[in-house]
Amino acid sequence: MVSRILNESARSPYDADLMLVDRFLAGDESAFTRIYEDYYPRVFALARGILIDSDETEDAVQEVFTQIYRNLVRFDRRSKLSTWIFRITVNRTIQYGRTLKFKRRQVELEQAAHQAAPDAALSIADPRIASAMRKLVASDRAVLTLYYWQELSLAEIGQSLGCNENAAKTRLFRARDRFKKLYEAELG
Amino acid sequence: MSRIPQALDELMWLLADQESPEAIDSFIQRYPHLRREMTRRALAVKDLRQSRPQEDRIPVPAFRKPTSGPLPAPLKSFRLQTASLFVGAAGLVFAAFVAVRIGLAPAEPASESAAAVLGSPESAPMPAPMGTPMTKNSADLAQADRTGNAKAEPEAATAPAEGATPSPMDARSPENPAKNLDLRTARKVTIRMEQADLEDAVRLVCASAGLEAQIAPGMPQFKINLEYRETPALEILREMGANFGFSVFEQGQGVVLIVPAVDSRFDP
Repeated sequence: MVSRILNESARSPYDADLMLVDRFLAGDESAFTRIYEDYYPRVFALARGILIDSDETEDAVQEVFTQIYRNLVRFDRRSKLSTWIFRITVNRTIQYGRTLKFKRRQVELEQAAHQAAPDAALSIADPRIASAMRKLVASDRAVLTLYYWQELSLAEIGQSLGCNENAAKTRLFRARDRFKKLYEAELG
Repeated sequence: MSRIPQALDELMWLLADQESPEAIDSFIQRYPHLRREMTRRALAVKDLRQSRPQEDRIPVPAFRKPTSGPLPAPLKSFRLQTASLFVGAAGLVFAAFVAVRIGLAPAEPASESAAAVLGSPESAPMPAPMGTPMTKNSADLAQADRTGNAKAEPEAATAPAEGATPSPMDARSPENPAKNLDLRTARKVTIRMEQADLEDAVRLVCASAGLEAQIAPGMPQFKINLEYRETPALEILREMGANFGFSVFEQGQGVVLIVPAVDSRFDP
């Protein structure tokens, strides 16, 4: 019975995450490498959904993990590690996108988006979806990405966006409506 | 297209999210006029989901360890300090609030009671009324009408003789603070009367301010002229009292007691 509970708790990603955090805080750097490897694809996908353009996403994700590395000691365990990481990702990526706007002109961004796409797996599969998403504001993209790509619950989305569940629901409702209109325009 | 009711709108998104063809068909059968909208939503959600980058094919580059290490853990004592700082600040704000409230509260009356004032011949004479009539002073008019009496000094009427009634300013009793807060006595009144009985004039001033006048027997009987504009009722009554020989007491609950306190010099 005890071994079954221990096994289940060991399999649980929540507990595994906390153990990794504890190990890292105890000075085990390899524990952070494990967190990084576990979360990189999801963080990358989320950042891609917010930034859309591929070649900037990697840099943004590196910044996100730098933040996580430096601030993991301040993770207060009131939420899942995953939602804490997503919150940093959303905030940092939106901020990154803003600075990017000042660095480059929009025309250059679009050219880069069309020319890049080195790997289809890294890109948004449907260009019409990518185009509609690009026209949304970053916060709308974030909520759509968290809901449809990361498949988080509304409560988790709320934690990731720093709002309550009802606010997350409202934001999802509006973002979805705006996306539908833009996507229909893309479809013609 | 007419606006879709909110409940249906939410239901359509829910069905689109679930991607259940049976549920969508059932909805369309029930609401055939929403078929197009339902289909569009289902398509948008489906395409959005399918556009998700394939996470399992995303290469994970080596983590570039930042040059600066992890931040130090926040100290518990720091949290305590922050919390105590907040508590202290809240206390200061509350103290300031209380101080301001006390400062704004009406001044407490003197501790001595009206009874003590009653029997003290040395008590200071009543100060002159704070407001003054806008036009002719009614006292001058009234004095001219008084029957054969020499010109009486208005101040003389205010100085109570031994055993006389107390000065109106001392009438506020600390035992009944509600009296002091009655705003009706401060209500500004505009009044003009010619050749009116003193008692009628007092009653009219009180009535104009919504006060009830309780007039003790023995009020002086003479005709007066009055003209006040936008002057507090209590101030008018006190000035009249000072000039025509009566005292005014606030009784609270909108009641004003008028007691004739005629100085010997007022007697005909």
